[in-house]
Amino acid sequence: MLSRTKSERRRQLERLMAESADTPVTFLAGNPSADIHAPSVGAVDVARSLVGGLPGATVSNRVTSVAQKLDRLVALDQCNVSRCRSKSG
Amino acid sequence: MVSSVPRLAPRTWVLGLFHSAARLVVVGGRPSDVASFPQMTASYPVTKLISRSWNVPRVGKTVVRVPPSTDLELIDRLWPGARNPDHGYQHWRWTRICARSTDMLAMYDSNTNIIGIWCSQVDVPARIGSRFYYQLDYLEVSPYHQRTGLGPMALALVACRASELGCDGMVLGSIESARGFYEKMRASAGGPGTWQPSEPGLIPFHFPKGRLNFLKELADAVED
Repeated sequence: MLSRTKSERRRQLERLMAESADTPVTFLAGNPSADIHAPSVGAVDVARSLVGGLPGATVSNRVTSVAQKLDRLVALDQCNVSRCRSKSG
Repeated sequence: MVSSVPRLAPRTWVLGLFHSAARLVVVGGRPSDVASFPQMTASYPVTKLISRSWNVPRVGKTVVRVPPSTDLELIDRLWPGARNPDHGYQHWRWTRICARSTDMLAMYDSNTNIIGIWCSQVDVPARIGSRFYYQLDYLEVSPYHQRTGLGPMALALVACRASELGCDGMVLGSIESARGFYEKMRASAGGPGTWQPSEPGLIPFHFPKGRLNFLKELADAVED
């Protein structure tokens, strides 16, 4: 009886997979707008791109360090916002 | 069928597990049957899923793991350009998504490629009345595995995780382009009770207990 159920479920899975394969849909859930507030480019990338056009120029360790801290603060802030949303929801 | 899938870095299991341990907590406000690894901290979200494997039709052997950061960085490099630009989620970055997640797992194929990944970002399952619902916040199948029909299997594994945590069902807010998929999976439209997605514009769906069990049985049926 158990194996019959199992084989039936397997057939159902195969059918669902076949049906889904015909549908050009990306399978995703969740909150598409939440991540868009996150910077697609971090402060470190900005600093590097600013000097990228200058021959021989590099981003100093000091600037990199500050930029990394800024990125971490942004990430922390996003984490807090997310938690506030979860709690208020 | 599956276009050239870049290989992920070799597994670094121990490092990967400990890397994620600090960011993860046990999701659950009720007793669950989750076993514990004695060598892990009490806060680690142990899951029996990582000790199982599935022989998925069209895909082959599939396992579930907590993705290490190196794998997340790799899919953030490989996936965005392969995503369908019409679906409006090309900006997703799994490193950032997982940084805010409390529960996250990835599906790997036999070549150690991530072929699907999901996460929940709430500390405890959504409680509606006396029932608990696993909140599925993000789920994506690798764009390199589009049209393989992997979505139902991914959802079945999420259902396994929800059941393992003792949840009575699952809730999610779908973007418009994925609505047809969840309808095909016979999710119930709307939230249970007063539950609504946290962001406007998302379409609420939920899987009640019976449907959750059905999804779980789909995965159980192809377990090795």
